[in-house]
Amino acid sequence: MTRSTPAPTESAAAPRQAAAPQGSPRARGRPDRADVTALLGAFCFFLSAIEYMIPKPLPFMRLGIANLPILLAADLLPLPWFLVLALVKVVGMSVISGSLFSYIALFSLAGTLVAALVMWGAKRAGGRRIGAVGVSVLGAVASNAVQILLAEVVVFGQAARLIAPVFLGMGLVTGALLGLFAERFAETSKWYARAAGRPDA
Amino acid sequence: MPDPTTAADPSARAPRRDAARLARAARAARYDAMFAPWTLAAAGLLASFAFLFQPSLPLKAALFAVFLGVALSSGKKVSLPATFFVSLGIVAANLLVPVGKVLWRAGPLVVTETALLEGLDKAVTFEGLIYISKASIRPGLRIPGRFGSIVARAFVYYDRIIEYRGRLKPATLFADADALMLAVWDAPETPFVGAPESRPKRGPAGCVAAFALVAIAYAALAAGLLWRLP
Repeated sequence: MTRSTPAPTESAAAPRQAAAPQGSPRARGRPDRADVTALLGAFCFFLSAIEYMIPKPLPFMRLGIANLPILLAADLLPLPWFLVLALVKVVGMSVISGSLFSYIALFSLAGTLVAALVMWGAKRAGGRRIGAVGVSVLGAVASNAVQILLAEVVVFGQAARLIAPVFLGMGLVTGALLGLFAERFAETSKWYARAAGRPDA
Repeated sequence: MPDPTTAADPSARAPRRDAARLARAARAARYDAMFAPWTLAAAGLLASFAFLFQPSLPLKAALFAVFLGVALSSGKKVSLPATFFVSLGIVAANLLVPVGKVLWRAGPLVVTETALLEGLDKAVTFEGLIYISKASIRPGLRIPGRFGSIVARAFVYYDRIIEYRGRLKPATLFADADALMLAVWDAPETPFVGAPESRPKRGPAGCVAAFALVAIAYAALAAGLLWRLP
């Protein structure tokens, strides 16, 4: 995750086609960004469904594991598609859970967009000096911080500050764990290499 | 009071759960046969504005009860204990900072009028918007445009993930996760863009009911605003 991935080129497409099983859509043509965005969005939905099953004190207090595909996408997608992925995640999850018009969707939108922008900015500003763990922790803490601010404004009032240390601490721990997973996955995954257009796939 | 027979034998609760699930599915089928997804979404959006800006707590609570009823009739899963405890948490959090006239004291806990009313208002708003969403956002809702087609494609991939038969074992987590990604990505293409959607014919009853709900929400908003006038 520390390396910056080159944009897919025509020359990179050939090995990727060779790696894809015959008859598969990827064997027929180069994967486009919409396709990668949709697949990562689907994994956001899936991880969100898993997270939904984990008990939590309040509906919007999430561990943030659904941000893992966004963390992986920081090296795969340019900024516009990266933001589209964040929106797909929020809209899709809100449709699945039926919370599109509720504060939960507002918390999700704010947390996801802030996390995405912070991760993207950290990745671009830090280059090789920052790893996936650092990017992930920054994104998770930023996401949780903005959700605490929103909670203070719309739900809890000043008492939201009381849950801030626990919530931010959770962001540190889950952000670090997700970063470790993303780093290892990006190093070993054949899918990731193919989606990134690397010829070693 | 818990039923002693079911408390002693958890498996005895299974038929009751199955019956509840079937009843919910039947309600959802009736609801979806009555309302078009976009009619519901538009009605939900309009109603959520009227609800959000409702200044009167009693009227907001009455609307909350209406939306809870609609969400129950939609076949969506509704947990009243969860609603109660989340609301209790919101009210308790607001009471931590005393504001307004002191209503009563219990040791270190001071219950103040403004903090209590604000907490109740926030709790009712928070939960009410959830029930409006539950009642108005259906899985069949299709978002138009390029963005909508990407969301639709993501749902196709999501179905493939759900149907994936492989396992994710802790010892081989990274390889298993990679196998899952490759299997989902390389699965045979299924049409997702421009596919003709089945559009069951629905009578006008759904539109009339949705319009009536929105009208009730805005009538309540008007009443609430007038209520505040001197």
